[in-house]
Amino acid sequence: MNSKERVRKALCRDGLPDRVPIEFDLCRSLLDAFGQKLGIPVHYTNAIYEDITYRLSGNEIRIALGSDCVHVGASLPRDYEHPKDSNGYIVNEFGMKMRPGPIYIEVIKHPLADVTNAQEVIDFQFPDPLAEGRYDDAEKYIQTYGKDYFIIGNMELTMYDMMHELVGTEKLLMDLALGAEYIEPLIEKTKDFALSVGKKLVAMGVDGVWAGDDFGAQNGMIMSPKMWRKYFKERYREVYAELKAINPNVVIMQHCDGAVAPILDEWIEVGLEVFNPVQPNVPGHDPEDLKSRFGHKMSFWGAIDQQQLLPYGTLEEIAVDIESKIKILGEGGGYMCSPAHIIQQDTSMEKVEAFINAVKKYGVY
Amino acid sequence: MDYLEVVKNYILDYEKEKTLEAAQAAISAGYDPMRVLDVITEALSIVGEGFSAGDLFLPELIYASDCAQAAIKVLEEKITSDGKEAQHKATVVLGTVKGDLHDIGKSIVAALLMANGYKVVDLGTDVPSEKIAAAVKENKAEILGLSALLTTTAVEMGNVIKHIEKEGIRNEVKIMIGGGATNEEFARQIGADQYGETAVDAIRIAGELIK
Repeated sequence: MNSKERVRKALCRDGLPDRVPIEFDLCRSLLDAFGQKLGIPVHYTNAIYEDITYRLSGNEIRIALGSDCVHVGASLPRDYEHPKDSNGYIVNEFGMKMRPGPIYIEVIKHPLADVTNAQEVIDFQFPDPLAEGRYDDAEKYIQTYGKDYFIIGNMELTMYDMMHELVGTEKLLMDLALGAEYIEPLIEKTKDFALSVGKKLVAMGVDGVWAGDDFGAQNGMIMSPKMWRKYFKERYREVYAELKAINPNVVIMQHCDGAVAPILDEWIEVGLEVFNPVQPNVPGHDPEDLKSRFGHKMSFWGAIDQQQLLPYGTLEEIAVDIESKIKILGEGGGYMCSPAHIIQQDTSMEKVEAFINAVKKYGVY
Repeated sequence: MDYLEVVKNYILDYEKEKTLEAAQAAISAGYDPMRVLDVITEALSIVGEGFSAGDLFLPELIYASDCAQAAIKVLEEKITSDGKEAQHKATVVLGTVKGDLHDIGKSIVAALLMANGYKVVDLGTDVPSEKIAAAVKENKAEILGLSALLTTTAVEMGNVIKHIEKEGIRNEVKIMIGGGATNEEFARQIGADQYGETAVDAIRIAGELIK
């Protein structure tokens, strides 16, 4: 059974794969370190948004280490480089000024920070989602790895996440609560951009499409289920339906950080098929509870703590947790094991390898 | 008309302009600004409890604190224009440490502290330890509140405390920390005086620290 078959069987709950599939994303320093160790050059794919860069980059490293997935998405247009200011801060295609932080590059200037009316949003220029060269890397990877690996097409920053990077989180949350006049046009514009990316990737032949918006936080949802329902639920139905219209077999994979159990039933109702990252140690995300409530209608991708366990746990603690998660979430299939976010630089190479080995050891059906 | 109830209810309804108008109307009608401040505190406590209980969410919390801060400015202007000085329980310097841009939690703490009678000097985000120490010294702050959301930036809190020690003012200021990357044990490790899990905790902690 190759990786593609393994992931598809697991996530579509179509019988048991040979073992639980593995996926993981690595930060720059870990990609570089493993690249050196394995003697494999790291190919960085500069993406439309910096976070996505780490989802798309270093595929060769990750599959060499044991990942069953290859990630593709929307890169920068051919021959395009981000302009930089005198501090070396880049301004991306959306006009967000971005500064390297300890882990990520962070948005320090939001292009719609002062938006008040709908016309400003209508006039605001989004980049061309289908610009020449954006999908050169995607095409190359689909061609090289499409036969053997499960290809995930990234369309994260689907709506809410793009909006808060454009506007700023505090202002956006207040304006969502107020129903400010620019909100609806902005959601539509972000949705249309993401859909253009997603539809392109589905047409290119990806196996799964990975949408992403973070509606949850460490202790609960960022917004009420009522607000999510008001602004995003039906739009997600529309997004999923348009992707499925191109390929009914494409797997709908939804990233949503934080504690979001209150909306999972409704999200599944509108078409969510795989829930990622199943953030551990947050209210409502007890693995047994999630599996019993949702396991018959949704698959799980994630669940390994990379906030505390991977960086600070012992090798034995890591192995015990992975064995437990696999036993619970992987019962009868329906689970791809991965850390709940990009593995950060506070996690050693040894522990990355320990995670991979533990999944291989305990994940055999 | 009971302007105190009106101010409180407009905050609970997240009506910023109407909160401002009601606060101004209360002042014009001769209400003691401190009484108006009391109902602002009460409204924020209700919202804070609702948030802790999971009935209210971040948008409501942010908006209520925004309403409250706007009204508090009106009250403080009135106090100053009367030739009085606003009486504060203590001065609190707040800042998100260097390298960290997160500020929602800190802004809510600022609003709650202001509503509870503290003078707040909010330094914003990504604040170097030298600037924090200088602000504590300059404002003769009794309390310093530090925020960090990332494990990689939380360590900077330890540097801030070392800087405060180096400036020779550690014994003059109490230090409380909060933010998703921190906890009790971390507070102990770096030598902070208290850790607060939620923004609402900050009020109780501030009260304990100035006793």
